[in-house]
Amino acid sequence: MFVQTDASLLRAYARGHYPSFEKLYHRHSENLFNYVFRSLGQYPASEELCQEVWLSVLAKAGTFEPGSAAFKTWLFTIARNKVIDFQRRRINQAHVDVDDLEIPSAALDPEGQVVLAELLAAMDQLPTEQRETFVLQQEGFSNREISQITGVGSETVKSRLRYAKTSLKQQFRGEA
Amino acid sequence: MTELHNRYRKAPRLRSPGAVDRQVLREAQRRAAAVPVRSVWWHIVAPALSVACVAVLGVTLLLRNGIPPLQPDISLDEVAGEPVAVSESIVQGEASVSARSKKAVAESHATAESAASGLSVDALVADSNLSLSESTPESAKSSFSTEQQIGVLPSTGGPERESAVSVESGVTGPDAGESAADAIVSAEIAGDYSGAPEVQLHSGRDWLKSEPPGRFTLFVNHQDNTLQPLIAELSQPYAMAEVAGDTGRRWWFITGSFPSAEAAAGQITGGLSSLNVQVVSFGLLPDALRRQIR
Repeated sequence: MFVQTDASLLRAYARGHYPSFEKLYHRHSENLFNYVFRSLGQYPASEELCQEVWLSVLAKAGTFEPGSAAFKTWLFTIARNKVIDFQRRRINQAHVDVDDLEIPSAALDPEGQVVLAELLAAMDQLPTEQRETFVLQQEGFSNREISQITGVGSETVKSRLRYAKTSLKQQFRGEA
Repeated sequence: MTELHNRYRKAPRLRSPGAVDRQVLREAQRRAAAVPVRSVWWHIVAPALSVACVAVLGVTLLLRNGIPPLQPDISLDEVAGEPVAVSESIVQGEASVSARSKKAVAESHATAESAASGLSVDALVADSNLSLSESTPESAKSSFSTEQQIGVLPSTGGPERESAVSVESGVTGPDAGESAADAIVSAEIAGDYSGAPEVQLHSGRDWLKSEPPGRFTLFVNHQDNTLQPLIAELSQPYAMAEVAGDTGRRWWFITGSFPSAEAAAGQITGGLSSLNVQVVSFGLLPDALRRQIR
């Protein structure tokens, strides 16, 4: 079966074909939401941010150039910028616990919420740059793509990843 | 790394909230509807391209596989130079194709035309009771390029007369040593009751290449429906096809297995003679109809 690329779907949508966007949205919406949520650690804020990201995509659909970056990289770059903007506005978010997640009970069972809260609490100890680099890598991006999204060199990416992993390992060992 | 990755993966992933989905998709739909090119591209160009692709695919497949046989009401491009519409029925497990041409198909056969003037096969059958026998010269056995004389035996019920069936020169059967599969024989019944019956044998080697070995097609033309049961009886072992022209002239195509073109001519001529059919001439079976018969 013929599989349409992200770029061709977005191009079709830019010409007015709505089903193409629907397909594109369902292809990436879950990954995007998890990236934003794991970067922020707040469910309502992640909802809001994701909506903003997708509305930006709709507004910029006609300007997307597949030659410069893959759609997914472009999408996560927009998301990353939104996350940074939000984090700048957030002042008193010292740490994350289960109550801070504000995840609707229908979305996740209590046990799952605890596991997720532990992960987010650990990542919350990381500096923003290390955290975003780590989350992006865990979401499947290569170092080169992370470099494109974050706008830093690949050596910097490697360095941030190394620090982030060392720090997380120590935290998890401390838990154990 | 693996441990960290496992921890990350172990944490449950969340689905994109439904409220966000609805909001985003509604906005996307609104924006798409506002794009002016939409109606031109997605409502005209894209469907037209799809239809064109399907049409090209269909024609390609049709050309590759040929027109399937035994399709009712198929218009043939040409039968003896004239368009023909074919209908069909099955006779004895083999194809029996009945076709009706838009015009008479007999004009292309000058011999049959002249012989046929004013005659009906009824008269032939009723009056003459002639029978045909074939005397094929040895020299002509490997080729039909020479004229052959086929004697017409007197019948008991009609006036005695001598007649001849000629094999028209210039039309060849299988050459000596050539596979019988390379030849095809067509027989055309004309209506020269008073004169000598005429038989023309044609070899259509170039359009019989794919016939099974020893199989020939006889192309029989007659003028009257009364011949139909006779031909039907004669051709029972064979597949046969009928083409009827507007003028009432009928052409019969009989396909059977014969060891050679000569044998086919002899067998058919003999068969026709036993049925008191008078004049036989052979002509080429049009390619388009041949495909239908097969």
